[in-house]
Amino acid sequence: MSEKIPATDRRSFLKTGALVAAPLAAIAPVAALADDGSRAKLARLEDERAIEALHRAFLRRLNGKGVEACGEFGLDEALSSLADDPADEPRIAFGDDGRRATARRACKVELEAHFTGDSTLERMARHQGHGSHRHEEARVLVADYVKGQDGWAIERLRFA
Amino acid sequence: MAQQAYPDVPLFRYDYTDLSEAQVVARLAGPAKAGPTGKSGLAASMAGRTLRFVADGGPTLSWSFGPNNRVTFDGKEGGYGALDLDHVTLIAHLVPGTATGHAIVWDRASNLATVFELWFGGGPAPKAREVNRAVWHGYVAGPGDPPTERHKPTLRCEGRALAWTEDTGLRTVEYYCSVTYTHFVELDRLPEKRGYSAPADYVQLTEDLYAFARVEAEFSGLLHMYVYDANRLTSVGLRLGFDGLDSLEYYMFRGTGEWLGQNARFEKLGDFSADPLKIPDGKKGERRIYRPLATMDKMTPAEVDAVIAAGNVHVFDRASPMAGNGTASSAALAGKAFTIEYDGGPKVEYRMKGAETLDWRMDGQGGWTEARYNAWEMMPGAFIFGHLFEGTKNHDGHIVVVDLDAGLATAFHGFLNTPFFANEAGAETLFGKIVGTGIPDPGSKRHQRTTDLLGRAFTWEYSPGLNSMHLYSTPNTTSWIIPTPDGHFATEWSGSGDFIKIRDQLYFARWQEEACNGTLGTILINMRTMHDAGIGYHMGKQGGLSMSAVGAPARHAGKFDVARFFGDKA
Repeated sequence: MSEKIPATDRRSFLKTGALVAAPLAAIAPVAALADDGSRAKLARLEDERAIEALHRAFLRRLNGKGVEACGEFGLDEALSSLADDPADEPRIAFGDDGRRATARRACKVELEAHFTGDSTLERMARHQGHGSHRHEEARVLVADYVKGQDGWAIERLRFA
Repeated sequence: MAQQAYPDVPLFRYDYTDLSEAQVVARLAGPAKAGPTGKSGLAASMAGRTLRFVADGGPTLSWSFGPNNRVTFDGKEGGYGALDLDHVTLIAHLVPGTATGHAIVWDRASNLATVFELWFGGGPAPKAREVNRAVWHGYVAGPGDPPTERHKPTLRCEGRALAWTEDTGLRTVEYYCSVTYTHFVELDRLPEKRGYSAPADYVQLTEDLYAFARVEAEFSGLLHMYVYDANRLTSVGLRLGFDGLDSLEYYMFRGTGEWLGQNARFEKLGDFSADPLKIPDGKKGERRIYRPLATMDKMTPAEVDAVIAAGNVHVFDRASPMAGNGTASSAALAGKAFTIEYDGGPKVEYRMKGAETLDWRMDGQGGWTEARYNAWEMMPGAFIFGHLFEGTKNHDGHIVVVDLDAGLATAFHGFLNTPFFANEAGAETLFGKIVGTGIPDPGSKRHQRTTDLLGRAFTWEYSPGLNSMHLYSTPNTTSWIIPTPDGHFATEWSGSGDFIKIRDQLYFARWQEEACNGTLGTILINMRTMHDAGIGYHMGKQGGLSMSAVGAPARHAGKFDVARFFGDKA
């Protein structure tokens, strides 16, 4: 099941909280939204907000229920958690038709290897009580999004 | 197999008697009354004393020592032995009529004490002949306030190696390469001068003085322990247990040591914790003792044949956790054709059809057979590659190093159907030359066995969380030790090894996991790039017959100068 967030209309967008309102105010005062350029910018911001919400929903699902709950994305089974790098600004590039987008986000992934094999070292590790190992890596998560009638959805996830 | 006190076969091949506890008690009866012997005489300084030992979280024990090495413990009188090492006395006795005893390490200056409670039978050791021990730290009660300090487990010994000579004349090289294990080479008792690994205790008594104890788990079950002075290189010790003829060894000894050096430790700086494998709520004396023979697959030739006939054969067709940090394989052999002529062995013709496919033919007979291979070029012109000889009776495989610039080749020939377990890999080393267009003729020159790796230790980081250290402890032994996640090297085992020099700083090494998972491990070590590439040859019930990649970056942990202990073998 893909994550889908309904596309927002202008009214619902303007009702949202300070996290969204602040960048909007920085771009254009509400009173100036009548011209065509402002409408396009607003639509883009709505799309970006929807994509970010989709991303947050994905993170909740992955980190709360595990990678097996995100099976449709074919992620590495060793992935045990993912967190955005707070120092990184996500980069979202939209397709010309505005119905596709690709986001690149720096993140920290935690990978867990289970030593279930029959190599001698894996057997020894299990003997020591160390049947698995977690480690963190810095990665870039590349997410492709597509906008359908029901709104935006994650089409594909991969690590660059 | 003829019974021998010290077998001339590897200890993992020797059939030690499974003594019952009653048999053990019967064999201990006389020695318990007499006390241990001592070649250099025993101390009489305990006569007339009573020791009351108070253990932290353990028992309170009392001994009354009389004249003529008599001791009364728990209402039973028997013999004891004592030896002084400066201000520390080591006392040993067995309790008559039981399979129990003690080794008491008493610091007369501080009244701190460590008691090794010893017993045969009743577990946790699986066999009655294997000595159990529980280590208690505490103090000897005296007239004043109890001391607040304690002896303690230590990692300070980790990485050291010493060569000890007992007053019996027997010599042992002891590599303390782990916090929980040791690796020892009994130079005079064991004809092959192989190294073996054993669970060990390391206790710091003072800055100078340490107590050490190992139990030959999986083999004789003997306890060998001593207190040693790291500065003066002297020791006093106790040996207790049954040899290969089931005769009791129960004696105390003095030793003199030779400092062999100190390898690197890999704990985080400032981490002095020394009990990395603690078992929560463990039974008395319980510890993590690796018993690989119990857990390895044991297959008959028919079972091996059936698994292979069913197609459970994997040659570089799946990711190997042993090569997560390995080097990229090489396609540079593709298109080459050559013959390797092994001295006293086969002539193997090769047509390297592609990066992962070759044709081989043996001794110029029969047709060509296609096989999958992988190759790694570890120095320019020097490759390691491996493949199976499909259809051979023993499911042979060759792991070959070819030096195309020198015209030399060496192979580790792996095979199944050893007399011990059909799925356990046997191995032999083949030396030869390469014949092919543009390849120089080396004449009679061959790669040679080397002692360059003898006494050397490398860590190997195969993939996240999967690391080990190799210690090449003797000319025919490879030992491997694995760390805990926080860098304490801990569980250890060992097997047969062979070590070949290919070029300066390029070595071809192998180890056999005999009576232990059965793998033949091979690596080509480049000490200039500190990386290896290798191949594991393994047969198991689930995984079938496999050749898989091995590869890891190395750290050089150190090198001990031990060649002089191995004579001609070195």
